Amino acid sequence: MKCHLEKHVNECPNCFVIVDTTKKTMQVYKGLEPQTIPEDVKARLWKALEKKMAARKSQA
Amino acid sequence: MTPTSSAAFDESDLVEKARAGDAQAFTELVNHYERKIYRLAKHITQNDEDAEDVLQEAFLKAYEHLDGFKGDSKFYTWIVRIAVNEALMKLRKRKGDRTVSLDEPVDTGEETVQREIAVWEDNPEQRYSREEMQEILDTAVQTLKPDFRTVFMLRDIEELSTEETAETLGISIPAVKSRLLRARLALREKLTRQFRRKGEDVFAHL
Repeated sequence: MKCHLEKHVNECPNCFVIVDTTKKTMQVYKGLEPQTIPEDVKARLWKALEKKMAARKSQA
Repeated sequence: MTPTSSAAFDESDLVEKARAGDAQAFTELVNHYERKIYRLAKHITQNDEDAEDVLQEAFLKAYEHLDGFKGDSKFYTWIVRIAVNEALMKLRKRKGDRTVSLDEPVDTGEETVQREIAVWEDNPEQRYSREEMQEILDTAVQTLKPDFRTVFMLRDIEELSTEETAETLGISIPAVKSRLLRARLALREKLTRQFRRKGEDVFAHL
């Protein structure tokens, strides 16, 4: 079945383009690194985490 | 507490230390994964405020429930699951009474789809700045329906397996595969309009 499909994709112009550009779509997304988190968002995250960690430490 | 840079990131070693009470080890884990979790949260919720809440809740819950992490999956997969649940709860809240169901019947594609069939220009990433590229890709993802978008994020961006994705979302494996395919094809359509090779015979490559 797979061989049959691959053969068709290589011979059918429309299907070739769709498969090729779908693969490229996936590559483009995989290639993009996540953006930096805004500093204020990061600061609030660490403030919340430090509070949690301090609370656990005081309970220990 | 500020994160320190580590020469080699060893997730399982840091998790063990964090479970034993080493706060610095947990800090290293957060520092390593925070951008990815924030990106995931932003894409699912489509709302900056909700994304920030999700980011915080995910790591706070992970810290709180470290003892419950059995190690039968990667720590990153575990925290992605926490983040996805938080993000989906945000989506449900925002929709009010309307239920956001990820297990709706999948459209079998009875409708006629007009496909964009055109080759892309070579290396489109080099034509745009990083920021422009980010904008193009984010805009395309935003157009996806929530259930397709979430599956795409988990499978193709966060690289969870089909089984992990199904388990995280509480849907079947065939549903994951179907939605992923539809998400990829929908994104392909959007990006083809942006990246199609201009001024040439579409099939010149054959």
